[in-house]
Amino acid sequence: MREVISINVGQAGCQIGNACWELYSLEHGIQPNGYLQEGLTKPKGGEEGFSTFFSETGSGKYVPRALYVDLEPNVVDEVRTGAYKDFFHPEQLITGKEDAANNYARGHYTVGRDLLDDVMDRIRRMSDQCDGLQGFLFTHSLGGGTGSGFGSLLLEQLSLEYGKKAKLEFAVYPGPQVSTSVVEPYNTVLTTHTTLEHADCTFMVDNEAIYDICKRNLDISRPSYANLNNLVAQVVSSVTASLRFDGSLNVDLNEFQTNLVPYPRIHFPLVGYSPVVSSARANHEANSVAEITNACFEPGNQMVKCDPRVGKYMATCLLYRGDIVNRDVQSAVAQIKTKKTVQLVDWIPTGFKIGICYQPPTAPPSTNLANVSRAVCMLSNTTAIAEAWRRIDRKFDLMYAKRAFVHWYVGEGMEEGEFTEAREDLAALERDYEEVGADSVDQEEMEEY
Amino acid sequence: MSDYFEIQVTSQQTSSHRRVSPQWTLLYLRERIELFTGIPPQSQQLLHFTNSTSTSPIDLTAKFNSDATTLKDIDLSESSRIHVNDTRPLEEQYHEDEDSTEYFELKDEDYDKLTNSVRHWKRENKLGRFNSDLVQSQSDQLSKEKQLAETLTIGARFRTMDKEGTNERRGVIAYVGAVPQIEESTTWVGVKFDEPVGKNDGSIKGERYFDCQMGYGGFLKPSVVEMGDFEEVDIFGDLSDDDDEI
Repeated sequence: MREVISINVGQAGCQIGNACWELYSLEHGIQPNGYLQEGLTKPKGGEEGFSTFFSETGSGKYVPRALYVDLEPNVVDEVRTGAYKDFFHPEQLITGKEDAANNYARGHYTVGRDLLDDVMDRIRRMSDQCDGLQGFLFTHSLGGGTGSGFGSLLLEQLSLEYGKKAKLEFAVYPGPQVSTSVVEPYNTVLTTHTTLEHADCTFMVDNEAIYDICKRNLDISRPSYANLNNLVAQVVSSVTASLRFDGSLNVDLNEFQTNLVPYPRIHFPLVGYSPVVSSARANHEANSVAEITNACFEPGNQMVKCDPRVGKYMATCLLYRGDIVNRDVQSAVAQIKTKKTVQLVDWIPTGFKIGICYQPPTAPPSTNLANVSRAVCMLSNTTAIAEAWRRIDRKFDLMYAKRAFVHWYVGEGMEEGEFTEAREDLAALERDYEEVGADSVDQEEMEEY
Repeated sequence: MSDYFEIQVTSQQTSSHRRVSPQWTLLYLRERIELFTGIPPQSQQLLHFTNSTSTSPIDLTAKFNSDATTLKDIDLSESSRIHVNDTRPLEEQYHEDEDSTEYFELKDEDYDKLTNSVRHWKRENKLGRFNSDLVQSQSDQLSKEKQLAETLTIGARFRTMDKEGTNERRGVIAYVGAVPQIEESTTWVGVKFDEPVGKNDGSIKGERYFDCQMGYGGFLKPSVVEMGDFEEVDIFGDLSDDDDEI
């Protein structure tokens, strides 16, 4: 067995975790109390894949291989008292008493440090129950205090103890227009610097991009976090589907890195998803394989605001689910490759990796997502995402030029030098992307003007 | 059971949804608000909009001046928005200074020294421009083009084919030399086609190299230009050939 442990950190991480586990349970036919839905004798989609994400107790109850961690109790309290309260073992829900107050340093050094041993203990116990742990799946935000500070502390620690095990992240990246807190740029730059060498592959989602998708495609005039997280959950589910369902070409957690990341630092693939349709509109859309494939290459269906038409692609994975015919996929991909807007890096081999999982996506009744017969999730390592780094780096500079709020961090025992060190590392990351985009050796390109 | 609920908090620079408890005092709320708006408690003016369409907010700061006031007393709800104004004089407030801030850039020579960078990896693995074979073949190609260019004569007839050796086009050589508007390194051949099968009128990006009608001009690489006695073709003369191709 190739188990995967999911770790949700901080408010955003835990809430995305909720949306994901609700979706997984529906997809596999598990009730909120952990038992199979009536009429089922085994989980939907086959037991082998299923067991990578769930363990079975002696009584026939299934328990997520998941851990919730927050420095303050109340987001997790809602799990403890909510509809899924029996789904998790109390030991899987870890909370402290004092939150990180939007401060990376509190999550990383002071408040977070106190919780670390406890969390590592629980992780050890969970990994002891695994036959062949393949790795960890993180969800956290980059801009908050717990997600950024404690999240990076935990990733560092996992690297120390679990060395080569894969570590994938879903990370909420601050939206370009609306800041949820003034110190978001600090937290984002600091946590990215700390985790850069520890995470194997990081899928970023920016709430503003998702907000726009919800508004445009789901006709929700003012999307709530719950709406946003339900959409994120569909993406996470697509990425993990091939691990959870038998029959699909069985993918390893490692494969995302192998296929998408040519050099370890460049590990932030852009995510696109299609179709996102409301139940009201679903009947009017055809959603052929070609249509959904094209759609996920459009900036409007991507989870981070940036323009891939001006970047170069290093690698792409297309993860299809549902009613998919391979021939349609092949022709859709051939069509994508001819597009002028999809420019490939030409000094390393670039590939389109295809994954097909025949289990269609599930739309939870609590959402207004439509049930569709097929969907595709695009993961593209493109230099365009450097735009997101450039944006946050500049916001960092605007504040740091005045040393604004730096005393909040120094007050938690962080050294000021860490700010400049982190910022330099991110500047190097921007350079790394430039370097990837440099060197066109393609002679064939334009021969006539 | 937690009785926390979510309200929206906005300030000039931020907008977010925050979980609050009815048990919190107003002072505690202010302390929390400082952490993400950056406005110190004593400088916050809190305006409460009871719902999204409300245009006449309640000034909480003016209405409740006791530190012991709890959020329950204020009547906050899920649809509430609190807007936070900074009451400090403008010069004391934190504000971004886009004009005077120098953005940090890593100098090329400093990037070059890093050993955990994409450039270092490319250099170590001889990728891209660090692949000397590739660079050599590129520069061989360039000098080959240059040599070929020297054999061409302005005013001479020529033909050019596509890669499959079909789709012949004929015309007159009108220019040989550099065209920096396309790119710096290669020598280009400006041509006047007999038919409107070109891309321009002899100028490129505003710079004129020769004169011809729009659509008759083009710039080709020397290697695809075959100079010789290729007379103008009567296009109606070989219709049957074209039919074969279709």
